[in-house]
Amino acid sequence: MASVSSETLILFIASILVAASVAGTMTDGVNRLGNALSDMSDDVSEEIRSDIEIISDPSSDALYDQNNATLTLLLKNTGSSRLNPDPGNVDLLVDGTYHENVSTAVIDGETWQVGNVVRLDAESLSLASGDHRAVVIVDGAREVIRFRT
Amino acid sequence: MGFSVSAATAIVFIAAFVSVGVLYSAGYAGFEQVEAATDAKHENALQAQNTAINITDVVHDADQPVEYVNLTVVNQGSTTLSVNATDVLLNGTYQKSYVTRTVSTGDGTVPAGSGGTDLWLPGETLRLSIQRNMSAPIHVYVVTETGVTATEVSA
Repeated sequence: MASVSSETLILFIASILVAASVAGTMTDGVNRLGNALSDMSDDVSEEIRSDIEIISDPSSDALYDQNNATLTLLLKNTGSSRLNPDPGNVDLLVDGTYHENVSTAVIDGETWQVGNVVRLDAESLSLASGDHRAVVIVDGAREVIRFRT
Repeated sequence: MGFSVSAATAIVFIAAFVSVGVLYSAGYAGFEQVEAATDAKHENALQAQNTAINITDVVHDADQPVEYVNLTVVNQGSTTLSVNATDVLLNGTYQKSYVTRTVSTGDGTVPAGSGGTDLWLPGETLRLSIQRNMSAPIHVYVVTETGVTATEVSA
């Protein structure tokens, strides 16, 4: 092989460096995309597995306490994974308005496993007499209850 | 000039193949996860479809110092239910404890709930005895773990 000049050698090294940095950036970007895909499928599968039912009796007086202005709802986990019962994870809308002052407690166990029931108390909620509609959203699972006060 | 083009192309191609491999594995793993979750959801829906319960008797015994309410519920569907995951509401209030819970099986009546059997098989009758002062009429709500409910009002 004929000996090459130093300019050719420099150009060779430069082109290899460019190719390597392109390859590195590409795999870096693809790795990030792969991680994002993983996270997204985790979230989607969690949402699919989440399901709740509002088991409160809409015809009973135990639903809304006029004196304390508190609405009590019982939520049962009918999905296929454990849910997080923190008040920050449970969204409540009453007659279309988001209600912030809610507290939750698991009443038949330690955690909100499949089959367990959580009591949701919405305090400082004054409802006039008439028809009302409450919507509870937990991890993508949405349930509606209609009642009369 | 000639060799550097080949080397650079080879490096970029190898990186491309590795990227395709990473993307495909991530994509397929994610797809499998979502498919498993969807299958679980369909399975739950089928269980709920096959669930049916019927409250056949509500007896309010007001003669005792503390009143009793005795419920008789029959599993009329084809899903095996869990006694511990079955919830009872009397006049809207959740019932946390029971005096006795029994399931009548083909071999006789056995205790159920904590300390007894948890299985409420199709065709079996669950009897619940609750100690609570109640005012008539009594609205009874029985909820299974699939979300299927049965209700009865007793005078």
